[in-house]
Amino acid sequence: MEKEKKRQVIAIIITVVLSIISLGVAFAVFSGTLNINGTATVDTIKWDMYFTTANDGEKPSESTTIPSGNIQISNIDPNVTPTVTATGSMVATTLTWDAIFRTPGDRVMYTVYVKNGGTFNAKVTDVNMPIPTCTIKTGTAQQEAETRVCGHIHYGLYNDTAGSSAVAVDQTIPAGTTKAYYLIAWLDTNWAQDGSDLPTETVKTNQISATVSFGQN
Amino acid sequence: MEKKRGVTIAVVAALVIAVISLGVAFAAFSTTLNINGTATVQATKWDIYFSNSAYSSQSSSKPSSSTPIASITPSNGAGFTTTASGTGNITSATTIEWSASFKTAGDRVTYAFYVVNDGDFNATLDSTGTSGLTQVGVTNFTCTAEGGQTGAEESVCAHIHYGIYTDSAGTTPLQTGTSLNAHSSNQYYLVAWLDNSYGGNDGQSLAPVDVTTATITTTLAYTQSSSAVSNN
Repeated sequence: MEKEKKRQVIAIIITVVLSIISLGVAFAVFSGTLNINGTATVDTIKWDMYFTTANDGEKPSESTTIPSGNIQISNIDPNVTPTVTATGSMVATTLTWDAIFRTPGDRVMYTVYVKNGGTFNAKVTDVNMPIPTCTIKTGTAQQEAETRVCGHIHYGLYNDTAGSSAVAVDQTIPAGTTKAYYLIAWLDTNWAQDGSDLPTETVKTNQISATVSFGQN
Repeated sequence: MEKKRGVTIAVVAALVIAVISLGVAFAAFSTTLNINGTATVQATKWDIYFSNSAYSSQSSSKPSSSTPIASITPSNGAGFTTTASGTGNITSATTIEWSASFKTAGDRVTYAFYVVNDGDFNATLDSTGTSGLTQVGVTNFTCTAEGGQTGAEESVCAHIHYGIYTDSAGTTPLQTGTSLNAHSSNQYYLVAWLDNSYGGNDGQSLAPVDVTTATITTTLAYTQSSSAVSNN
């Protein structure tokens, strides 16, 4: 009796164990893996505004002379031969120019390009064109002469060769495009007719530091 | 559970802040292009004046005060012995004053002078502003008879002539459009004369009194020309 009872208990335990194992086995069989496969890409973006010497030109990594074909000299009076000596260069975000005038009305125009080499549209956010100043030597007469002569020197950055449309805030350069600008400097013709106020000594401006700023449009 | 919720909120907040920051970083893109330059105005001069001398690069021939015209030549174009006389001065660098006296038909006075361009700009004798290069009596100027006698002055005046010429013989009148280059000079001749027909054959029309012209005015207007500026 005892033996039979013990045998039954063992059988029950085994059964229970088997059931549990089976249950475990049953759980292990019922399973599946859900896979989620994907990719994320970060697009190349770039912000790059710079001077260049040609339409869609390369970014000058070192000082590059403005080609002579991009420098036009003239005189405001078409009947007068210009007497201008002009040079210029650029590197990345800096344009440097120098002009020497001898005759009232002398004018020089530099054709330069600004390229938006980035992936964002850009717009002009600020234009700063300070009035030229000249080195003033000691002595009242010379000071007066240099101040007077300095007042005859003018310059500006324009959208057109005639110098009628100045570069202004909110003008745009779409991404990947190049815009031509015209840096024009000239000596006006508002001098005394008898030449009495022509400079008796050479007058040179201090460095004119102008800027044009671009921001994302 | 509460701790787990707190962590979740913190993570969400961090993500939101990161997204906002990313947005702010995009708006800050900007570039300033620099344009640095200098302009020079070289010393130049505009200076045209009368002189007794031709232009010299070594010294200025500009008269600093009233200077007599150095070359004054009386003559007679009718073959007679001249009875002409003349005086003249460069009273300022840009003004000549002259006076001539005639007695005999054909009497003539020739004044030689220079126009000097001591400036840096080529010049042209401009038609605008230039006047009186050649003048004939009565047509271009009036005369006054001594004592106010009427009649004599008109008949005499018509025989008096004047002009600016490029040759001493007075055959080639100075023309507008004539160039005067920088750092150079042109010589001209002011010729005044009493023509050969004065007095007629019988001398009846000779003036019984002195007849004097009004001031004969000639203006030479120079303007900057279109040719290149001298680099001297």
